[in-house]
Amino acid sequence: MNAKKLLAILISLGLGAIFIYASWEKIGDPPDFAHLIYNYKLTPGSLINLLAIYLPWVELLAGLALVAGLGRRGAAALTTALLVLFIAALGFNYLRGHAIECGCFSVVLGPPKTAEQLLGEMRVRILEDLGLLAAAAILLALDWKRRPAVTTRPGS
Amino acid sequence: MKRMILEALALLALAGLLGTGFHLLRRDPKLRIPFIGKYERPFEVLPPSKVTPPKAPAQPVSSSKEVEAAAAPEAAPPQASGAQSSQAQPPPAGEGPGREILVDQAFEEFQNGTLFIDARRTKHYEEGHIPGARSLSIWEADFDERFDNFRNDPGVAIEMPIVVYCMSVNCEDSHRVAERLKGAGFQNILVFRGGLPEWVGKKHPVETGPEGAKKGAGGEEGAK
Repeated sequence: MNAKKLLAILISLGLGAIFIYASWEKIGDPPDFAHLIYNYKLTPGSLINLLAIYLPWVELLAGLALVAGLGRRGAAALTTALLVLFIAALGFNYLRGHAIECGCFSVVLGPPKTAEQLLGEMRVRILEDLGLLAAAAILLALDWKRRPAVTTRPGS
Repeated sequence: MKRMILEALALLALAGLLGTGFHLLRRDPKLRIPFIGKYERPFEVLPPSKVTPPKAPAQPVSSSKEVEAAAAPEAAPPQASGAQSSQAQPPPAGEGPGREILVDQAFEEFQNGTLFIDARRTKHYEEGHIPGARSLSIWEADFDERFDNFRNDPGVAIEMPIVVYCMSVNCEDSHRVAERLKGAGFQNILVFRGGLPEWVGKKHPVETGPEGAKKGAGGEEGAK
Protein backbone atom coordinates (compact mmCIF):
# COMPACT_ATOMS: atom_id res chain seq x y z
CA MET A 1 0.00 0.00 0.00
CA ASN A 2 1.57 3.28 -1.03
CA ALA A 3 1.50 6.46 1.03
CA LYS A 4 -1.17 8.16 -1.11
CA LYS A 5 -3.52 5.24 -0.82
CA LEU A 6 -2.99 5.13 2.94
CA LEU A 7 -3.64 8.87 3.18
CA ALA A 8 -6.84 8.51 1.17
CA ILE A 9 -8.05 5.73 3.47
CA LEU A 10 -7.24 7.71 6.61
CA ILE A 11 -9.01 10.81 5.32
CA SER A 12 -12.00 8.73 4.26
CA LEU A 13 -12.30 7.14 7.69
CA GLY A 14 -11.89 10.42 9.57
CA LEU A 15 -14.20 12.47 7.38
CA GLY A 16 -16.75 9.65 7.23
CA ALA A 17 -16.80 9.25 11.02
CA ILE A 18 -17.31 13.00 11.48
CA PHE A 19 -20.21 13.08 9.02
CA ILE A 20 -21.86 10.05 10.62
CA TYR A 21 -21.53 11.66 14.05
CA ALA A 22 -22.84 14.99 12.75
CA SER A 23 -25.93 13.36 11.25
CA TRP A 24 -26.99 11.34 14.25
CA GLU A 25 -28.78 13.89 16.44
CA LYS A 26 -30.26 15.63 13.41
CA ILE A 27 -31.93 12.43 12.24
CA GLY A 28 -33.19 11.84 15.78
CA ASP A 29 -34.85 15.23 16.14
CA PRO A 30 -35.98 16.93 12.90
CA PRO A 31 -37.93 19.71 14.69
CA ASP A 32 -34.79 20.91 16.45
CA PHE A 33 -32.80 20.77 13.22
CA ALA A 34 -35.55 22.65 11.36
CA HIS A 35 -35.38 25.27 14.10
CA LEU A 36 -31.63 25.62 13.58
CA ILE A 37 -32.02 25.92 9.81
CA TYR A 38 -34.73 28.54 10.31
CA ASN A 39 -32.37 30.51 12.55
CA TYR A 40 -29.90 30.86 9.65
CA LYS A 41 -32.51 33.01 7.86
CA LEU A 42 -31.24 31.91 4.47
CA THR A 43 -33.73 29.26 3.42
CA PRO A 44 -37.15 29.73 1.83
CA GLY A 45 -39.85 28.65 4.27
CA SER A 46 -41.03 25.78 2.11
CA LEU A 47 -37.53 24.23 2.03
CA ILE A 48 -36.71 24.35 5.74
CA ASN A 49 -38.45 21.12 6.72
CA LEU A 50 -37.28 19.30 3.59
CA LEU A 51 -33.69 20.18 4.43
CA ALA A 52 -34.22 19.16 8.06
CA ILE A 53 -35.54 15.78 7.00
CA TYR A 54 -33.16 14.91 4.14
CA LEU A 55 -29.87 16.70 4.78
CA PRO A 56 -28.90 14.51 7.77
CA TRP A 57 -29.49 11.39 5.68
CA VAL A 58 -27.21 12.73 2.97
CA GLU A 59 -24.59 13.34 5.68
CA LEU A 60 -25.06 9.86 7.12
CA LEU A 61 -24.90 8.03 3.80
CA ALA A 62 -21.93 10.06 2.58
CA GLY A 63 -20.18 9.30 5.87
CA LEU A 64 -20.99 5.59 5.67
CA ALA A 65 -19.82 5.43 2.05
CA LEU A 66 -16.51 7.06 3.01
CA VAL A 67 -15.97 4.70 5.93
CA ALA A 68 -16.95 1.62 3.92
CA GLY A 69 -15.00 2.73 0.85
CA LEU A 70 -18.00 2.17 -1.39
CA GLY A 71 -18.85 4.97 -3.79
CA ARG A 72 -16.06 6.98 -2.25
CA ARG A 73 -15.70 9.47 -5.11
CA GLY A 74 -19.37 10.35 -5.02
CA ALA A 75 -19.31 10.58 -1.24
CA ALA A 76 -16.22 12.79 -1.34
CA ALA A 77 -17.94 15.06 -3.87
CA LEU A 78 -21.05 15.27 -1.69
CA THR A 79 -19.09 16.04 1.48
CA THR A 80 -17.16 18.72 -0.39
CA ALA A 81 -20.39 20.28 -1.65
CA LEU A 82 -21.96 20.12 1.82
CA LEU A 83 -18.93 21.70 3.46
CA VAL A 84 -18.91 24.52 0.90
CA LEU A 85 -22.60 25.05 1.67
CA PHE A 86 -22.04 25.05 5.44
CA ILE A 87 -19.11 27.45 5.22
CA ALA A 88 -21.05 29.80 2.95
CA ALA A 89 -24.10 29.80 5.23
CA LEU A 90 -22.12 30.28 8.43
CA GLY A 91 -19.73 32.77 6.82
CA PHE A 92 -22.53 34.91 5.41
CA ASN A 93 -24.26 35.10 8.78
CA TYR A 94 -20.97 35.80 10.53
CA LEU A 95 -20.20 38.64 8.16
CA ARG A 96 -23.62 40.22 8.61
CA GLY A 97 -23.36 39.81 12.40
CA HIS A 98 -26.31 37.46 12.72
CA ALA A 99 -25.23 35.38 15.72
CA ILE A 100 -26.62 31.84 15.65
CA GLU A 101 -25.97 28.37 16.96
CA CYS A 102 -24.15 26.43 14.26
CA GLY A 103 -25.94 23.11 14.74
CA CYS A 104 -23.01 21.49 12.99
CA PHE A 105 -22.67 18.52 15.31
CA SER A 106 -25.51 18.89 17.75
CA VAL A 107 -29.05 20.17 17.56
CA VAL A 108 -29.30 20.53 21.32
CA LEU A 109 -29.32 24.19 22.20
CA GLY A 110 -27.08 24.93 25.13
CA PRO A 111 -27.50 27.64 27.75
CA PRO A 112 -28.22 31.10 26.39
CA LYS A 113 -25.17 32.89 25.00
CA THR A 114 -24.37 36.45 24.14
CA ALA A 115 -24.04 37.47 20.50
CA GLU A 116 -20.29 37.81 21.02
CA GLN A 117 -20.03 34.26 22.33
CA LEU A 118 -22.05 32.92 19.42
CA LEU A 119 -20.00 34.85 16.87
CA GLY A 120 -16.82 33.48 18.46
CA GLU A 121 -18.18 29.95 18.16
CA MET A 122 -19.14 30.61 14.54
CA ARG A 123 -15.55 31.66 13.80
CA VAL A 124 -14.27 28.39 15.24
CA ARG A 125 -16.83 26.35 13.30
CA ILE A 126 -15.93 28.06 10.04
CA LEU A 127 -12.25 27.25 10.63
CA GLU A 128 -13.14 23.64 11.47
CA ASP A 129 -15.23 23.35 8.32
CA LEU A 130 -12.40 24.85 6.26
CA GLY A 131 -10.09 22.15 7.65
CA LEU A 132 -12.62 19.46 6.76
CA LEU A 133 -13.05 21.00 3.31
CA ALA A 134 -9.29 20.82 2.76
CA ALA A 135 -9.36 17.14 3.74
CA ALA A 136 -12.27 16.44 1.40
CA ALA A 137 -10.51 18.28 -1.43
CA ILE A 138 -7.35 16.23 -0.88
CA LEU A 139 -9.42 13.06 -0.98
CA LEU A 140 -11.08 14.14 -4.21
CA ALA A 141 -7.70 14.98 -5.73
CA LEU A 142 -6.20 11.64 -4.68
CA ASP A 143 -9.13 9.72 -6.11
CA TRP A 144 -9.05 11.85 -9.24
CA LYS A 145 -5.40 10.97 -9.80
CA ARG A 146 -6.07 7.32 -9.04
CA ARG A 147 -8.82 7.08 -11.64
CA PRO A 148 -6.79 7.12 -14.88
CA ALA A 149 -4.51 4.38 -13.55
CA VAL A 150 -7.54 2.21 -12.87
CA THR A 151 -9.24 2.85 -16.19
CA THR A 152 -6.21 2.80 -18.48
CA ARG A 153 -6.17 -0.33 -20.50
CA PRO A 154 -2.83 -2.11 -20.90
CA GLY A 155 -1.27 -1.50 -24.28
CA SER A 156 -3.34 1.58 -25.05
CA MET B 1 -16.17 12.29 -13.46
CA LYS B 2 -19.21 10.44 -14.74
CA ARG B 3 -18.76 7.74 -12.14
CA MET B 4 -18.41 10.32 -9.38
CA ILE B 5 -21.66 12.02 -10.43
CA LEU B 6 -23.48 8.69 -10.63
CA GLU B 7 -22.25 7.68 -7.19
CA ALA B 8 -23.30 11.04 -5.74
CA LEU B 9 -26.73 10.79 -7.35
CA ALA B 10 -27.16 7.24 -6.05
CA LEU B 11 -26.33 8.41 -2.52
CA LEU B 12 -28.80 11.30 -2.85
CA ALA B 13 -31.53 8.97 -4.09
CA LEU B 14 -30.89 6.55 -1.24
CA ALA B 15 -30.96 9.44 1.24
CA GLY B 16 -34.29 10.52 -0.24
CA LEU B 17 -35.77 7.04 0.14
CA LEU B 18 -34.50 6.47 3.66
CA GLY B 19 -35.36 9.99 4.80
CA THR B 20 -38.93 9.70 3.50
CA GLY B 21 -39.48 6.21 4.88
CA PHE B 22 -37.98 6.93 8.27
CA HIS B 23 -39.94 10.17 8.67
CA LEU B 24 -43.23 8.61 7.61
CA LEU B 25 -42.74 5.83 10.15
CA ARG B 26 -42.13 8.18 13.06
CA ARG B 27 -44.91 7.71 15.58
CA ASP B 28 -44.09 10.46 18.05
CA PRO B 29 -45.77 13.70 16.90
CA LYS B 30 -43.23 15.64 18.98
CA LEU B 31 -40.51 14.43 16.61
CA ARG B 32 -42.44 14.89 13.36
CA ILE B 33 -42.58 17.90 11.11
CA PRO B 34 -44.60 18.31 7.92
CA PHE B 35 -42.54 17.84 4.76
CA ILE B 36 -43.43 21.34 3.64
CA GLY B 37 -43.29 23.83 6.46
CA LYS B 38 -45.08 27.16 6.70
CA TYR B 39 -42.77 29.85 7.95
CA GLU B 40 -43.55 33.50 7.83
CA ARG B 41 -40.70 35.85 7.00
CA PRO B 42 -38.01 33.14 6.93
CA PHE B 43 -35.37 35.67 5.85
CA GLU B 44 -36.15 38.36 8.41
CA VAL B 45 -33.39 38.85 10.95
CA LEU B 46 -34.63 40.39 14.18
CA PRO B 47 -32.47 43.19 15.58
CA PRO B 48 -30.14 41.91 18.30
CA SER B 49 -31.44 42.20 21.80
CA LYS B 50 -29.85 44.79 24.05
CA VAL B 51 -30.56 42.70 27.11
CA THR B 52 -27.83 40.15 27.62
CA PRO B 53 -28.73 36.73 28.92
CA PRO B 54 -27.69 35.95 32.48
CA LYS B 55 -24.04 35.01 32.65
CA ALA B 56 -24.58 32.01 34.90
CA PRO B 57 -28.24 31.18 35.39
CA ALA B 58 -27.55 28.19 37.59
CA GLN B 59 -24.95 29.90 39.74
CA PRO B 60 -25.94 29.63 43.38
CA VAL B 61 -26.67 32.96 45.00
CA SER B 62 -26.51 32.91 48.75
CA SER B 63 -28.60 35.85 49.88
CA SER B 64 -31.48 37.91 48.67
CA LYS B 65 -29.24 40.97 48.43
CA GLU B 66 -26.94 39.10 46.08
CA VAL B 67 -29.96 37.98 44.08
CA GLU B 68 -30.93 41.61 43.63
CA ALA B 69 -27.38 42.57 42.74
CA ALA B 70 -27.09 39.75 40.23
CA ALA B 71 -30.37 40.75 38.69
CA ALA B 72 -29.62 44.45 38.50
CA PRO B 73 -28.53 44.52 34.82
CA GLU B 74 -31.76 42.84 33.82
CA ALA B 75 -33.93 44.97 36.06
CA ALA B 76 -32.46 48.14 34.62
CA PRO B 77 -32.32 47.70 30.87
CA PRO B 78 -30.02 50.00 28.96
CA GLN B 79 -31.48 53.13 27.47
CA ALA B 80 -32.49 53.02 23.86
CA SER B 81 -32.76 49.27 24.04
CA GLY B 82 -35.11 48.07 21.40
CA ALA B 83 -37.23 45.03 21.85
CA GLN B 84 -36.21 44.24 25.39
CA SER B 85 -36.90 47.47 27.21
CA SER B 86 -40.61 47.09 27.51
CA GLN B 87 -40.72 47.88 31.23
CA ALA B 88 -39.12 51.26 30.82
CA GLN B 89 -40.19 52.06 27.29
CA PRO B 90 -43.01 49.89 26.02
CA PRO B 91 -42.79 49.43 22.27
CA PRO B 92 -45.45 51.26 20.28
CA ALA B 93 -48.70 49.40 19.82
CA GLY B 94 -48.73 47.25 16.74
CA GLU B 95 -44.95 46.90 16.56
CA GLY B 96 -45.03 43.19 17.33
CA PRO B 97 -47.51 40.49 18.13
CA GLY B 98 -47.27 41.26 21.84
CA ARG B 99 -45.78 43.72 24.29
CA GLU B 100 -42.40 42.58 25.50
CA ILE B 101 -41.74 42.33 29.21
CA LEU B 102 -38.75 41.62 31.42
CA VAL B 103 -38.37 39.01 34.10
CA ASP B 104 -39.58 41.14 37.00
CA GLN B 105 -42.79 42.04 35.21
CA ALA B 106 -43.22 38.42 34.18
CA PHE B 107 -43.02 37.45 37.85
CA GLU B 108 -45.62 40.08 38.72
CA GLU B 109 -47.89 38.58 36.09
CA PHE B 110 -47.22 35.13 37.53
CA GLN B 111 -48.20 36.32 41.00
CA ASN B 112 -51.36 37.86 39.52
CA GLY B 113 -52.31 34.44 38.15
CA THR B 114 -51.74 35.32 34.49
CA LEU B 115 -51.73 32.37 32.11
CA PHE B 116 -48.28 31.48 30.75
CA ILE B 117 -47.48 29.66 27.52
CA ASP B 118 -44.16 27.86 27.12
CA ALA B 119 -43.21 28.01 23.43
CA ARG B 120 -40.19 25.73 23.76
CA ARG B 121 -40.09 22.13 22.62
CA THR B 122 -42.12 19.73 24.77
CA LYS B 123 -38.99 17.89 25.91
CA HIS B 124 -37.60 21.13 27.34
CA TYR B 125 -40.98 21.98 28.88
CA GLU B 126 -41.02 18.67 30.70
CA GLU B 127 -37.53 19.29 32.07
CA GLY B 128 -38.73 22.49 33.72
CA HIS B 129 -41.24 25.26 33.09
CA ILE B 130 -43.00 28.10 34.84
CA PRO B 131 -45.66 26.52 37.08
CA GLY B 132 -49.01 26.22 35.40
CA ALA B 133 -47.66 27.15 31.98
CA ARG B 134 -49.23 25.54 28.95
CA SER B 135 -46.99 23.90 26.36
CA LEU B 136 -47.29 25.02 22.73
CA SER B 137 -44.27 24.38 20.54
CA ILE B 138 -44.50 25.74 17.04
CA TRP B 139 -41.90 23.17 15.93
CA GLU B 140 -43.97 20.09 16.58
CA ALA B 141 -46.39 18.47 14.17
CA ASP B 142 -49.34 18.58 16.56
CA PHE B 143 -49.08 22.34 17.15
CA ASP B 144 -52.28 23.20 15.27
CA GLU B 145 -54.25 20.59 17.18
CA ARG B 146 -52.88 21.74 20.53
CA PHE B 147 -53.44 25.37 19.61
CA ASP B 148 -57.08 24.64 18.76
CA ASN B 149 -57.50 22.78 22.06
CA PHE B 150 -56.03 25.76 23.88
CA ARG B 151 -58.25 28.25 22.06
CA ASN B 152 -61.35 26.19 22.72
CA ASP B 153 -60.49 25.60 26.37
CA PRO B 154 -63.40 26.99 28.43
CA GLY B 155 -60.88 28.36 30.93
CA VAL B 156 -59.24 30.51 28.26
CA ALA B 157 -60.88 33.79 27.30
CA ILE B 158 -59.81 35.90 24.37
CA GLU B 159 -59.42 39.06 26.46
CA MET B 160 -57.32 37.53 29.24
CA PRO B 161 -53.63 38.43 29.46
CA ILE B 162 -51.26 35.72 28.32
CA VAL B 163 -47.50 35.65 28.79
CA VAL B 164 -45.51 33.70 26.18
CA TYR B 165 -41.89 32.74 26.74
CA CYS B 166 -39.23 30.54 25.24
CA MET B 167 -35.55 29.71 25.56
CA SER B 168 -33.63 32.97 25.63
CA VAL B 169 -33.52 36.58 24.51
CA ASN B 170 -32.52 35.40 21.04
CA CYS B 171 -35.35 32.90 20.75
CA GLU B 172 -38.15 33.85 18.36
CA ASP B 173 -40.57 31.04 19.22
CA SER B 174 -42.45 33.15 21.75
CA HIS B 175 -43.02 35.79 19.06
CA ARG B 176 -44.24 33.19 16.60
CA VAL B 177 -46.71 31.73 19.11
CA ALA B 178 -47.75 35.30 20.01
CA GLU B 179 -48.43 35.93 16.31
CA ARG B 180 -50.69 32.90 16.22
CA LEU B 181 -52.49 34.06 19.35
CA LYS B 182 -52.94 37.52 17.89
CA GLY B 183 -54.24 35.98 14.67
CA ALA B 184 -56.75 33.98 16.71
CA GLY B 185 -58.05 37.18 18.28
CA PHE B 186 -56.21 37.28 21.60
CA GLN B 187 -55.72 40.90 22.52
CA ASN B 188 -53.51 41.06 25.59
CA ILE B 189 -50.34 39.16 24.74
CA LEU B 190 -47.11 39.70 26.63
CA VAL B 191 -43.84 38.27 25.36
CA PHE B 192 -41.32 37.44 28.07
CA ARG B 193 -38.36 37.27 25.75
CA GLY B 194 -35.71 36.50 28.37
CA GLY B 195 -37.51 33.23 28.91
CA LEU B 196 -36.86 30.47 31.35
CA PRO B 197 -33.11 31.03 31.85
CA GLU B 198 -33.77 34.51 33.25
CA TRP B 199 -36.64 33.14 35.33
CA VAL B 200 -34.40 30.43 36.79
CA GLY B 201 -31.63 32.99 37.24
CA LYS B 202 -33.96 34.88 39.56
CA LYS B 203 -34.76 31.67 41.44
CA HIS B 204 -38.44 31.90 40.68
CA PRO B 205 -40.45 28.67 40.97
CA VAL B 206 -40.12 25.99 38.34
CA GLU B 207 -42.25 22.93 37.72
CA THR B 208 -41.22 19.76 35.95
CA GLY B 209 -43.09 17.02 34.13
CA PRO B 210 -45.68 16.90 31.37
CA GLU B 211 -48.47 19.40 30.99
CA GLY B 212 -51.04 19.17 33.76
CA ALA B 213 -48.78 17.20 36.12
CA LYS B 214 -47.64 19.23 39.11
CA LYS B 215 -44.31 17.73 40.09
CA GLY B 216 -42.46 20.93 40.50
CA ALA B 217 -40.49 22.65 43.13
CA GLY B 218 -40.95 26.22 44.13
CA GLY B 219 -38.72 29.17 44.81
CA GLU B 220 -35.06 28.56 45.37
CA GLU B 221 -35.60 24.82 45.61
CA GLY B 222 -37.09 24.81 42.16
CA ALA B 223 -34.28 26.83 40.74
CA LYS B 224 -31.74 24.37 42.04
